[in-house]
Amino acid sequence: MIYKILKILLSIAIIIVAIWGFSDSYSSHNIDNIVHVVAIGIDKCKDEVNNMKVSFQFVNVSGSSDSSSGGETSTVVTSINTTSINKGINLMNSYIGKELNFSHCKVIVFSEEFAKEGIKSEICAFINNEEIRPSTNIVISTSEANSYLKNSNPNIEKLVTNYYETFELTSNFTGYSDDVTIGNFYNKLIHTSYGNTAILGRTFEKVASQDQSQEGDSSSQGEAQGGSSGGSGSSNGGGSEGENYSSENESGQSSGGNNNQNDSGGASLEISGKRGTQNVGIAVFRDDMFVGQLSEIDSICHLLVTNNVDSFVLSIPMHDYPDNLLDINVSSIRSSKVSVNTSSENPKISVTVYCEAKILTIDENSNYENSYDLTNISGQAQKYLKKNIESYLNKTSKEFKTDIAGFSTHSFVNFLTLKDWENYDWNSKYENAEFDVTVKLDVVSSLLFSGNQ
Amino acid sequence: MENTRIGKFEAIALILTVMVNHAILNITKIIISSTNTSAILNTIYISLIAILISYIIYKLLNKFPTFDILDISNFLGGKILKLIVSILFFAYFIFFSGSLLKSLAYCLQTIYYTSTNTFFIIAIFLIGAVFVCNLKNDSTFRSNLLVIPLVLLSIVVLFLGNTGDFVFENIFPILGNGIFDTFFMGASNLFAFQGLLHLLFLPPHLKDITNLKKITLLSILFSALYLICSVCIVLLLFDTTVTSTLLMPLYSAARYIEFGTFFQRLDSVFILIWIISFVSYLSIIISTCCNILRKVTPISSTKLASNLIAFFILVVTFFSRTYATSTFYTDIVYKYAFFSVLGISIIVMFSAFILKNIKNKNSNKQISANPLKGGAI
Repeated sequence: MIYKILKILLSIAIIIVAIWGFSDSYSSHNIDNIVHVVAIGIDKCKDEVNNMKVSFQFVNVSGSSDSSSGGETSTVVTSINTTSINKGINLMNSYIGKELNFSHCKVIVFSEEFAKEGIKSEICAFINNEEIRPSTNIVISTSEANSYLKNSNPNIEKLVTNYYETFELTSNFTGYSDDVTIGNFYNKLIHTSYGNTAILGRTFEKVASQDQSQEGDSSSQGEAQGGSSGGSGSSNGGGSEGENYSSENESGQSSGGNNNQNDSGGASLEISGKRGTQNVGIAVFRDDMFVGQLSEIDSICHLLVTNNVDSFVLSIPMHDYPDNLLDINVSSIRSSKVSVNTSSENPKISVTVYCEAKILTIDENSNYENSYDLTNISGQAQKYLKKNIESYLNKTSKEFKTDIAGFSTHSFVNFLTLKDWENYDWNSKYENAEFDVTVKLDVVSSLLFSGNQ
Repeated sequence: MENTRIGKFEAIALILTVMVNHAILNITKIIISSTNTSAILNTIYISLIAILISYIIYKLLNKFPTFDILDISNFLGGKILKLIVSILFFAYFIFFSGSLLKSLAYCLQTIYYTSTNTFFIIAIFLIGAVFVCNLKNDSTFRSNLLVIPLVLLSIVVLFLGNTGDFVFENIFPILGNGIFDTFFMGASNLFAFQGLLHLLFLPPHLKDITNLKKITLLSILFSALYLICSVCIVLLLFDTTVTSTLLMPLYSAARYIEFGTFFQRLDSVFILIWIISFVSYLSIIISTCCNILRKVTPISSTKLASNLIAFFILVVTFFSRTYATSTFYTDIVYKYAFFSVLGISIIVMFSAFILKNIKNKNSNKQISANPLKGGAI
């Protein structure tokens, strides 16, 4: 009997001690004591003491209940000047009065100005935080990161996190930007022979809005002529009332930007809508420093070579009618084949991409049931794509001097030991690399109609 | 465990559990850090050596049916040698299970229980393990048999879930740091096969001793497959420089798995499975140590013995004040200790085997010299 009582008492004691021991962890993770950060922005700070301005984007929970009938949830952006990320987080904890939780953080935005000076210590601080998921996207904003966050109002989605989740999907079917996550960015950052990339984000100029009602919102939709990364695709209504944004793509002006915009088919990426941001293009890094941008056509070529795109739309100039652009929907049908020959002084890189395309444009001259015409279009599309891939590859090696496509990994097979590979000195030789590009693209048909005759 | 008789599958699950928990914690990191890109080649190489050693162990054990290493040492050197070997194994199991437990507690504290003292995490594990040991005799092995398929399934899901992020070129250059590091220095990674030592305690507990060969080879073969799979996941997913700095490489790999936007954060499920698996591992260690205690001390109560062993493991966890200390024990000291214990065991078994042969020859001679007295010997 005494033994049984002792046993019960011991069990109760163990339960009480376990509750006491784990209560601290429970309390710190309690929903009442934490506030969820959905995005972080980092800008350069001109302050004498502090070197960075860290902005945190939160979802306004009280706002969400007000707008539960249909509007999107509003967000709050709060900034702080600090000397390091972790100190900034701590200061913000103190300011907010709750603990910041990053388990729902979807995006980390760096301003271009900040990224030019290197972001390794910041990336390491984030990757070391167990709350931040490896799938968190990295965006380099051409304007201030704080401004990017403030203007990231979802158009169609109610939650801003839903909008951020569309980055991955849109890169797959538009090819205009890469789905770069902090996990992959860190892996490449540590690897000395890799270049690195990030999503390139832009903010629009705010313009006077004439359509303040919901109806008015819908009237402003669909003006995207080049593309937009926002899941909703074209800019659509639904943002905060009375605010409207418009942009003209400035990628042609920037370093390594779109020098052949007219060739790209993305001639004018003019967008107007309720969301003040768009992600088109790729930010290029050498080591941890931002060194330039890739335009939308370069992004497509990059994703095609690295097997990260399913389909995209190309506007190819036709020889017969040079003024006309023919729109084709290109799908990647096989992984690209890359081989690197390191037997000579400079690496010789052969790239073969395999695609299939369907014609989107139909006019009075088209007859896509004629196999001769299809072969002719295939040939022109192949030439066009080959020229752009070569231009993109030369840009990475000659201009940026960074192997963002990861060709170095394909060269590993040519060496028996790591020492042999290190002795080859890939980084210095990549800028003299010779490229041999083969495009195997078959235009197979049109869509519902084979012509307009 | 003394009166427990276990079947073929329970025995294989037992050997697998010991290796699997070590692999989850840090063995993949140790292999990749020491051999770099040749980690898969090295794992295949040590797997072949492990299979060879397990066959040698089987051959030696087969000469002493129903004897474990303690009985064999008793046969060879009497009670003194039995005591020495018992202390050796007892200290080995207690010390390194305690160090591994401390490492796991540090990891769990970092990942989930940031405000909880590691003592409470350790205590929960030990209470769970002692509870399982104090149930019916074979509860440890039966519960383990339920857990191990989940653990094996988890590694398959981990592999398949990460396939999209694999960089297959990470296995090149195929020889990594060179032939010497891959095949000579890399042979020390054999310590990943901790199950080899537990094989030495199996024979008295098997329902059918004729299954020993199957159990030995299959358990080491499955362990090898598990290890190769774990190393593949980590090597193909992370750069080798990154791997050497990761807290728990397989956990980090689990964080990358996302099946669409609905099935995210699956790492929590993996952690749950691995926690249960580690409790199972601790209960096996406690059972084995109970067995050793009962053979060399007058303690006959399983409850008393298991509580005592849990207390010893708890004491060991206090030795490592920092994570660096516990990884020093589990990564470096563990390696040397394993080879010492395995080496001594094989020497003991081999000497006993020679002694038995000599005795047999002498008895045969006596039988041939005095055929009428032969039956009495």
